Amino acid sequence: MNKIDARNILRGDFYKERSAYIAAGEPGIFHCHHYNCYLQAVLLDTKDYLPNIEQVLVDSAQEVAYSQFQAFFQNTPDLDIQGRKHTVTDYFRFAGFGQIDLDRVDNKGGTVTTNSEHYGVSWKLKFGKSNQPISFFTTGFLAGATEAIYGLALGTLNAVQESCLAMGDKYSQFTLSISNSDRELTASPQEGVFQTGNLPQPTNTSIDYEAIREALIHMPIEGAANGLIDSFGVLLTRHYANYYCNISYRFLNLFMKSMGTEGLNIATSLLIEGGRVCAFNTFGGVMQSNEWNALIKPMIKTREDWIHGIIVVVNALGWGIWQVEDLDPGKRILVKIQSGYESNAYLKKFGPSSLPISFLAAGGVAGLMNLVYALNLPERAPITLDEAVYKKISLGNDYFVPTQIKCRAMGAEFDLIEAALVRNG
Amino acid sequence: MVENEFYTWVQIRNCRRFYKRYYTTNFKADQSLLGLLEIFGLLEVQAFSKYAPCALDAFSIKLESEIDISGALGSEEIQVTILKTAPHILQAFENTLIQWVKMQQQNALS
Repeated sequence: MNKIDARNILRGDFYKERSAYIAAGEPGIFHCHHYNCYLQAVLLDTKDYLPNIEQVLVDSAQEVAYSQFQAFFQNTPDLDIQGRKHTVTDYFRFAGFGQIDLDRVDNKGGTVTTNSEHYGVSWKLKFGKSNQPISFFTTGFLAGATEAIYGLALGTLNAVQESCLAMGDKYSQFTLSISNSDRELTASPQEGVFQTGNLPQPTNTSIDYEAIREALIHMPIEGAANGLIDSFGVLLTRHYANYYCNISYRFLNLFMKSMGTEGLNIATSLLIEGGRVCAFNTFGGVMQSNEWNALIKPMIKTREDWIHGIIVVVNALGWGIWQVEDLDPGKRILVKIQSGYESNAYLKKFGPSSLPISFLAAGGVAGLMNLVYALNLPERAPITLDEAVYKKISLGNDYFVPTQIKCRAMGAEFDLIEAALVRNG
Repeated sequence: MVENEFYTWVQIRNCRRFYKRYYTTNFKADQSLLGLLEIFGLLEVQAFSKYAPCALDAFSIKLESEIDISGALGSEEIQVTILKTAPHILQAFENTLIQWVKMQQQNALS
């Protein structure tokens, strides 16, 4: 086995001019288990109409893992098979996906067993026991990474999950074999059509954008020995931007093909709702975290500073360059996004769009306003953020809804999201 | 909120297996508190003040997945994430916190 040195370890770098993490060509972004599980649950809920949706989840993971590790191994030609396997298992742990070993895998397939895997653990935490295996991401990841390790073509291997932690099994087990299907897998769009820009420093807030982002990007956030990142009250992942984009946009296309325009409206609403759920849990968890109290709270003077505080955090998540363009307290916000990961990927993979496609961003902006103004978290923290509270906000008198006013994928220079107050009832 | 002569605490649900409690005392956390809490696990400090002068240095003390004690030097708040099945560890933490608060009260008097 190769001596383990820094060249064999895949980590990637943070590119300040894009607010993006790139590891061997793949953009990495932070997302928590609530979003990962919710988005997957939304997609799986449609399987009566979209019978291929589970395969979309697996294939999308296979494509990104293959693309990333193939690129990395091309630049580390001295690595032998054992060294390559170490790179993959180490990155899987680092990213918070879990703990695996690839000792029983070769170029024809094999088995992988784990008792600590992000989706299996998270799904059970969030939804309780599942009646089917749910670790679709890991299934595809293992196939794609193994193909890259052995220099096989993308799509050579097929993986299936045999048992699952989310079902109450002691282990999750995956079986890899030579594929005999004619799946059409395509390489990841990697860095996509990205932009560069500067981190803003608004003059109407005491929040120090640059200082906070510097502190956050230097935090040692990575999987523990069990491969999970337990941080900010959630299980975090350093996930693949292109995985989310692949599954979201393929889901959208399948839904449109199946149900036409009506399907489009339903699908976009579901994807935006995913962003709102993400904001509620992730941003809410961050605002009640020790890191928030230590780093950001000492700078806060107004309720609007809570908005700015989270916008800076977003600038350290790898989601692109976010900027508060306008904020009418309690009524409306406009957020400008450059190099947003959704537009980056969409433009490279599909070209121009006829509709706005920054669903996570739209839901996220509205979710942020709901936390700060509809829930009034700044004055109520600490509180339990559960489904009952989420429902109460959603059905309350004051509720923020998003509109994507500009979209890069439609030809605009940047994404522009508005979230405005509506009154229910 | 629960209150006694040494601290107040508020509890929220974190996930199915954990509670999270926010303790507040009348004293700002310092090195002497860290010295006492280190018996609970590995101490990690995030030197946020290096990046922003007004930021506080955060600390975290973890014992595997059973307890996570975090706070900031200069802050009166301490957050504790505790496994629901480990009330004895939480009791030990509270005893330690009371010990430290008593020391601070005595220091304030002398």
